Amino acid sequence: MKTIISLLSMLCLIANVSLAQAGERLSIKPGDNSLPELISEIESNSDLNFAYSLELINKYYNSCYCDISNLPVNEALDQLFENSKIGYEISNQQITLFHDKKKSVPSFNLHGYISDATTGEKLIGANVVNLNNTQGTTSNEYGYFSFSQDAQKMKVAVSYIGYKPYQQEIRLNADQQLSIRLEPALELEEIVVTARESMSSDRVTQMSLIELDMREIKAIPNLAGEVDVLRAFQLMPGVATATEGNTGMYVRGGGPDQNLFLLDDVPLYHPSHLLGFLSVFNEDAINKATLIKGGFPARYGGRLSSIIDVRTKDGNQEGLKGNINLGLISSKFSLDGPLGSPKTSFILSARTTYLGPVVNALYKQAEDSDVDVEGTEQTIKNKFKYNFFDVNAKLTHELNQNNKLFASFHTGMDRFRTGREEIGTYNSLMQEEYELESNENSQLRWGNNIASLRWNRIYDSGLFSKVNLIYGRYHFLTGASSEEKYRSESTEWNAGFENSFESGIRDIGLKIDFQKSVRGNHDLRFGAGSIHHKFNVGALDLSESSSLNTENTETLIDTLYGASKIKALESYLYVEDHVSITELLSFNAGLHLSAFNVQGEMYSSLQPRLLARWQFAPGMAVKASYTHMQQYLHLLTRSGVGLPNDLWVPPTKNIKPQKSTQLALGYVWNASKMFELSVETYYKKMNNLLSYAEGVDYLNLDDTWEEKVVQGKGKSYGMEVLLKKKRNKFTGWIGYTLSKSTRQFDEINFGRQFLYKYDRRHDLSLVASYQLNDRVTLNANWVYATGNKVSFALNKYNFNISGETIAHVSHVSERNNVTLPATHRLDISVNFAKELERGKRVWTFGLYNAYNRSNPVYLDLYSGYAASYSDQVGSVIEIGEQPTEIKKQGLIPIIPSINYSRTF
Amino acid sequence: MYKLIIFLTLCLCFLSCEQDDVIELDYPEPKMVITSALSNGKPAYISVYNSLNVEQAPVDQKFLTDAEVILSDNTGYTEILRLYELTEEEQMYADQFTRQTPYYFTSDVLIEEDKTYEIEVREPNYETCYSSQTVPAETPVIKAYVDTASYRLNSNTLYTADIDIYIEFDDPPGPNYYEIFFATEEILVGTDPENPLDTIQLNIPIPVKCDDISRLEDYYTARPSIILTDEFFDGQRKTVKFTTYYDALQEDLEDVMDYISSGTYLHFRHLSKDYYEFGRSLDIDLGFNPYPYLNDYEAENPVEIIEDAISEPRITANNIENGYGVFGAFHENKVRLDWQ
Repeated sequence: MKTIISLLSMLCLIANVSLAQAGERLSIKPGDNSLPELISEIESNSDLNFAYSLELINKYYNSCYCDISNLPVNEALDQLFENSKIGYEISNQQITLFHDKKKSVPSFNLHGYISDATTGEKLIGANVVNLNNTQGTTSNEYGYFSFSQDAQKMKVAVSYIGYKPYQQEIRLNADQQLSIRLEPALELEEIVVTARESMSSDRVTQMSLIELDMREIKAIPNLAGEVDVLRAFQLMPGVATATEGNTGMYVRGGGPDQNLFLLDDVPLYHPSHLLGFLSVFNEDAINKATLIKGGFPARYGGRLSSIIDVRTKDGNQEGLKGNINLGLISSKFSLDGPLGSPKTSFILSARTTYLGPVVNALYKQAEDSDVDVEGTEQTIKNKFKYNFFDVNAKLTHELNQNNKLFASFHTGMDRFRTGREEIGTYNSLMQEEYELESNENSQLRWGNNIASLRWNRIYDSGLFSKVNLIYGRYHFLTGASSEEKYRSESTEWNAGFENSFESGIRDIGLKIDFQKSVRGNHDLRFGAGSIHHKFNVGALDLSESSSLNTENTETLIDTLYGASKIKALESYLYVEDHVSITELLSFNAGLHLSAFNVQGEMYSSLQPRLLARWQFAPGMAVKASYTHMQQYLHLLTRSGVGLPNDLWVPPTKNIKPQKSTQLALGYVWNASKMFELSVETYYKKMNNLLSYAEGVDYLNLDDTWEEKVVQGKGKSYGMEVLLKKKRNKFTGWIGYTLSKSTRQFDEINFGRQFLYKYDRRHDLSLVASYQLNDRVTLNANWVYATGNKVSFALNKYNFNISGETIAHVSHVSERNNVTLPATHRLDISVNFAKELERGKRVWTFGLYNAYNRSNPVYLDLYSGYAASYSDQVGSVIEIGEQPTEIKKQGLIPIIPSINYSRTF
Repeated sequence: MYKLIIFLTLCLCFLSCEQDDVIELDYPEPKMVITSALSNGKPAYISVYNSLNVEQAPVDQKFLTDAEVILSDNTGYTEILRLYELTEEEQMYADQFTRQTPYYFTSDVLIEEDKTYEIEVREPNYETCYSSQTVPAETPVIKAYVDTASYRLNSNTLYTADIDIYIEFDDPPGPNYYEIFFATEEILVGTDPENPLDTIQLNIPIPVKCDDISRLEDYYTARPSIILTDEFFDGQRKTVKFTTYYDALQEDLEDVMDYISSGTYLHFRHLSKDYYEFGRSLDIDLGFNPYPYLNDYEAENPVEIIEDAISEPRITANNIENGYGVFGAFHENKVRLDWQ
């Protein structure tokens, strides 16, 4: 018998199945064989017969690593199905396999980092899939992934946009750490392989999510050729812009303050340059940017409408790399590489503008003048200075495989100055000769400084932890000064006036986050954090002085208005569990508990979050989410165009925090690997929104900001459609939003509900990129949006009560009663790329607003006049004729651009 | 390369270089503008005009003399008001001083407090308009007086006279609305002092400022009167302090004091809510053009920026069904201020 067994073992080289028929003993070496192959071998070498369905095996069989040697049949089968939820029944020689729901199998954790093989840069959002059962996960914001699987021999597949797919076979019989380095695809393949091979959106629980890779962002034609992350997000459904060219975002009917901009976990306030036309995010330093519009996981909190999570690169670990970019408005560079050893890397990027000197030259040419008439000599000089800069730096140090330290830093500033200098000598017969010298200056300055220190650690169990110490400061200052000197033979007189207004926020905080994949397909995240805010809600400093003949100097005013600093402590706790009930059904449920302590008042909120996904057919899924959010921050913004001097204010004893509840329902269809369609509907209710009171005068200094504001409600709902073409030479998307957003304040519009200023009934974006060949890419986007709402007097009348009060009434029937003409615009660009011996060179030529559409920002009413009029004593005076006209005022005409980029 | 050329050619087709900046707005149909404020002890005074869209010249606003105005109250009184046309002489004074409209609808019946009045205005070319209003009861003034003035230096005319005025009253429970203005009365006598039509009484409002009323009302003090709610003193005795000031050289100060102290009255009005809201919603530029009927053009406002850079937009109140304007009411007390 032993000889027979040995012979059979020899014959079954791949799947060694040996049996002892008489003694009902089996020897099985599964090897790489499938279960049907093993069963077939057993059946052909014994009298045993198996009854089973292939569906059962496909669904529930997990490979066995066992080496079964001469065991009784039942013991051999126990070992064979040890890792599978498959049971058996033996009746005579008949073995029937069935799904054993009660059977438990051991589960182990597979975790590790996914990075770029050439640079060591961590890959965020890479897909990791067990090909045995297509279960998987994605790498988090640090390239870390973790998921639990039943013990088995599995084939792990990893894919990421622009990288070659990777597969590795793993015997998962204990918790394992796996570091995967993906090879970048060749340039042409980048375009071809732009889709996620395994984890399509119908398999991801998160909804209302927009992830843009820097490659996609760089392909979009932009204002003056400036690549901008926020502008790319604005081309997605559900995201509206304030005015043309502006990077302000209004997500699903929310306000500009309801977006949480995170740069490496640190909140940014007013993240824009150039009065909002460029965002502060320098694309050279960015690894990944993600926008979440709804269905917020519990780990996020503090804003009502969106999370914009921007992650910077860690820096190249393999060698020194750089990039220089020259554009029409700004230029930038970045440099990254190892510092000493591959375990330490850095990235440094910086950007600045030369718009200021150019405009100054034009301004001076247009405005400077010398006047020299009899008795008068006068010289006028005008000054214009504008500049912005931003610097990003990051240092990454790998202590060991499980511990990493990060230090990141960002600073950015905009400075805008204008001035006028006038020097004159005046001489007339009526008075003595005198000199008059005047100097007027005004300035506007704002910027962010942020820094963070982070420690990432992986514990042996696969628990991932992140400890983050953050610092952030937003600062705004505006001011004006004037000085006049009068000198004559008998009199010398000086007068000066100066004002400055400053506001800002300073944050210091500590955040701790954990992530762990546990048995039963649970991906658990939990954490806590606390941020100490210091708000400077606006201080106006006024001073006025004068002197006569240098002896009589008197300070007339020196007053500080509204100087108040408010300190507050914001804390939160969260727990979040992503669970895959089956391959087709998954949930992400969580709780976010937050508290805000200000002026002795404690606000708190328990915010439930729930996301669900049900894949009801191949490639098709429906998703739903419910989120409750609370925001401990308000932006007091004007009804006109928002400026950086909009005030950031905290809740106080009198001002409550904002709240929202959002429900969303979505449908995703991955028609093929080529197309992806998503349709989402949402309904969002907002409470305690803050607004200036009706008719309030911003310059009124007698009242504090709390006395000028009112709180009310908001509501928005809509449908968003996104159709993406993801592969081949032609890629792009069509995004369409149908929405309505309203506000209701008891003290505004007589308590009646009114349309939000940025209510967009229709918003359409077409984005296309065509790879002509491996060097030339054509890009175009066309946008169309319903115009903004303004409060406009459509009617007027003279008004007289009892012969006593007479007024000219411009009748504004409703707040935001007029919709401005629709905005539409075409932008085009062409990229010429060339691979060089070392690095790559790209020339980009573009046209912003290619057909020169004048998109209105506001309306002007030019009051006309008749051919003649009668004055108060009845005389008729001829003054010509001019009709009353309403003119739309656009901002950005056609702008050609040229941009040169060189990587080395 | 031919694909590139086709692409660029297609893009160039879009280059239209849009120039037309003038836009057309969808204006609502013209409606009747009805303005009236019923006051205790006085006859109704109701004007009816057509509305204009913002592109029309003010001269196109006409008094609708064909209108039929029916006034009724909750006790069964109903009357079709008569159209009164100012005489030539009255019109001249109206143009110069009294600000009366060239026509108005009126009655001989005096308005009574606590009564609810309804109005119906018919005109062949417009939708019929309706409104109703209750005349508020009196809120008695306990006392009103002028406090001593103070003088301070300023940077312009060197001296400013600050004059404090106080008014004390008992606010009834519930929401109440008030208007207070401060005016001098002067009598103009024409060629025939015996003829009442040749004698005209003028109320010249003096701008006042008030700091202690409420957090909202202070913004409306650019108008000559102050309107306020009792939001912060409901049902209590309230003393309101007003300040008026006058910039002057030292030698002018005595004249100012004489001016203030002679024939000066405080008008204290208990307003209906509708009338208060209408007044509150008026543009802060109220009164900039005190004689609009004389001018056929609007040179005062050559360019009007819709999105006001320094203040929030204000919505105009309207309690006229199918029309514009206000059918308001108030109860007035007039107190003479004596001050030496």
